[in-house]
Amino acid sequence: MKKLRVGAKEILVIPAVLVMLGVLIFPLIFSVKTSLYNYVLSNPLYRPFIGLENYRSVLHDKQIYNSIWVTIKYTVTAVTLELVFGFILALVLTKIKYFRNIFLSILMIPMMITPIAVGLIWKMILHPDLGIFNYLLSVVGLVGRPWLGLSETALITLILIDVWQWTPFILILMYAGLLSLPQEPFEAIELDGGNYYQKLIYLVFPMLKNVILIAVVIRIIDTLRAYDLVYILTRGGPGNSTETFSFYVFKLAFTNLNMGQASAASILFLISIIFASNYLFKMLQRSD
Amino acid sequence: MYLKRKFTMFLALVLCVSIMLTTGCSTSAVNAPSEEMESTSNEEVESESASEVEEVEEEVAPKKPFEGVEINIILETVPDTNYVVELLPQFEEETGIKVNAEVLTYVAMFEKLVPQLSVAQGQGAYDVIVVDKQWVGSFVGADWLLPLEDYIQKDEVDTSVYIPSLFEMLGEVQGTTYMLPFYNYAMGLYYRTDIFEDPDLQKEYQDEFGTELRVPESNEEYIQVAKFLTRDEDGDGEIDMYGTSQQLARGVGIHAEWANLFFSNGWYYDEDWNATVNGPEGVGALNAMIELYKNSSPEGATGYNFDEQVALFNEGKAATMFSYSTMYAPLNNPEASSVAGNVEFAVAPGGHGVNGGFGWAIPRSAPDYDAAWEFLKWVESAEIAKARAEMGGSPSQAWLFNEADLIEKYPFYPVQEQVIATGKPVPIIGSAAQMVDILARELSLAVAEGKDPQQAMDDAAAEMNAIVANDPMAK
Repeated sequence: MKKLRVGAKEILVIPAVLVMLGVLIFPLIFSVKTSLYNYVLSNPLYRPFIGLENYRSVLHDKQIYNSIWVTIKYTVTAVTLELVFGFILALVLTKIKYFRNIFLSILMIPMMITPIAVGLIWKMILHPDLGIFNYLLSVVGLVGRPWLGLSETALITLILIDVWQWTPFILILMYAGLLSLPQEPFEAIELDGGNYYQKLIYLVFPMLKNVILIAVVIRIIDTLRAYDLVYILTRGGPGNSTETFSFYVFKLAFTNLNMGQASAASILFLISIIFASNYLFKMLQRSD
Repeated sequence: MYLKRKFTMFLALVLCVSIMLTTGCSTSAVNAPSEEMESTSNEEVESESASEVEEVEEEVAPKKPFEGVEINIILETVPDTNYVVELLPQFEEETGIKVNAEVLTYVAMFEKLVPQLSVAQGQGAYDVIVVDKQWVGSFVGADWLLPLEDYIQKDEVDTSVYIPSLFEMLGEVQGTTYMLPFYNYAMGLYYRTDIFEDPDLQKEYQDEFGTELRVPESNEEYIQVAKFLTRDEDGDGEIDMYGTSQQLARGVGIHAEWANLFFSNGWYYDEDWNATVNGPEGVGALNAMIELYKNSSPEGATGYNFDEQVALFNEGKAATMFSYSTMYAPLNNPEASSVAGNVEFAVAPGGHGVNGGFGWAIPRSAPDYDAAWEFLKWVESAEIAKARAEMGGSPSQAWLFNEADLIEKYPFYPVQEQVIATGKPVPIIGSAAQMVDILARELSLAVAEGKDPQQAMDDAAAEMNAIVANDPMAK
């Protein structure tokens, strides 16, 4: 049997591992344990072990399926739009000769604002009577709507605000990827008479595949946890058209005070995120 | 051998880092010995003089009973909080207790409170909290609030000064006093006197309906009046005066809008705790709310919370509005409202509106019960209660509504007293907040997404029955 060699570097990593265990693993184990008990904050004297009953209750709740569907719509639409806009902006940025860094800095600003502040800013902008967005629409002859007050527009409005905030993240990844591409294949394709779109399809996209996948994985994990904008702007309404999964879990914990069910829902959510990200990472490895 | 060498290197690294860190700390001490000695002798002289002065001061002024004590209280962002905060220096002067007041929005307050209330005694962040009417059941059921009986008896506090309906809602629960009512926010109907008294509008209404234009006294009349008053005043093709301003965003607001219509002849549960919201009264109230929205309210009202609703009324774009009794003073403040002087308050059209308020309480997790009680005693003393009312606060003590100087300053007091007396509360159950959330969701689905009102209330009733089944307060 090979002898285990424990060196200085392994010893020095121990404190970081202990911190991770404390911050990550212990809460996870506590959450799993809580999900197996009837843990209602307002009934502290009655907390029996009930096994998988919380999981059964959550899976029988109609609201969870609506929240899953809303979350899927949110994630797919937001990530797709961010990818498209981020890539286009990165391409445009690489073509700019002067003041490129200034443009880049300005484009980064939305990403640097905290989500709560973003929600409050857009709440004012989108106010149906006093907001500047509807005012500008009226100036060009269009009719403003209560974008956050109608079930048919509320979700897409939240998605577009998310796109506004996080497209810069995709932009910076794509921009760095584009700058790092080797020039020789592009020179070769030019010699062969290839046009701009052929360069994109046969060179840029294949060479940027790993960057795109990483960006998609990170943004999918983020959008699956969408909560801040929902909390500030719509509280899951109108109706339940914007109730994402995270907001559903929040209501279980802080409205119903049912920590057992909230933990069960969170564990189910975690398992699905692990499967989804595992699948995406496998795609990444296969592309290598 | 390999391990020993590596371990030695590790120890050497730790030693180097330690030396670097401790060298920085000792530098300043090494550099300033002479300055220290000089400053020490000056300090000794100064401290001797200061201590002599302090001794003299102590002989002249008695020490305050809670000198040096600090308490933390949490409050909501409402006008009554501002009045309390303004008076806090007086409390500190009298008792020596420094009060750190944390002021938050309604939603943020609840989420901050819950984790603090569930910890052991002495480990909570707050000594005094305010409890909303719909949190009473869950906080009492969870045994998070300290009973105040012993303190009340010891200091002979007279709780009969409170309005009975408020004390039943925010004072005594199942025979034990847990709170002292802070302020009421019973809901009624605000209306524009200049609109209702306009002779042209009165004639037009009389010609159309054969009755006088008056503050509505039934839900049906309210729908009719609100629709009549919704109009395009400047002829540009767009409505610029709405019959009503509603808060229909999903949350406590839409529940309140519906309840103000529902309470005319209904309540949430029967005596056996079976939900009754899906009966004719509950569904009728929902249909009335939808009628008001479609015919008399801006399209954006489905996204309005309290702030947006009040802003529309403040700008003079709505003739009526269900709102809280605490809003009378701000709506009539010329510095904040363009309709100041033209706003009056009435009981909800159905005769009963939502009763509400906040109560002071000491959580079991509070670090200092005695200091917390001192604050409660002071803030609810006759002197301070009247001072708060004079500033514009919403009284919870009955005798204040009979004070001649207050009635002269606030002529709406008789109406407010009637609004509180006729108001109906939410049930005091542990799952009251969950009940309101269920109703808010179904009401929002009906108004904003067109869900069938009967189906919406049936679904709400089914969930409401489920949540009281195991609720220890629902007996």
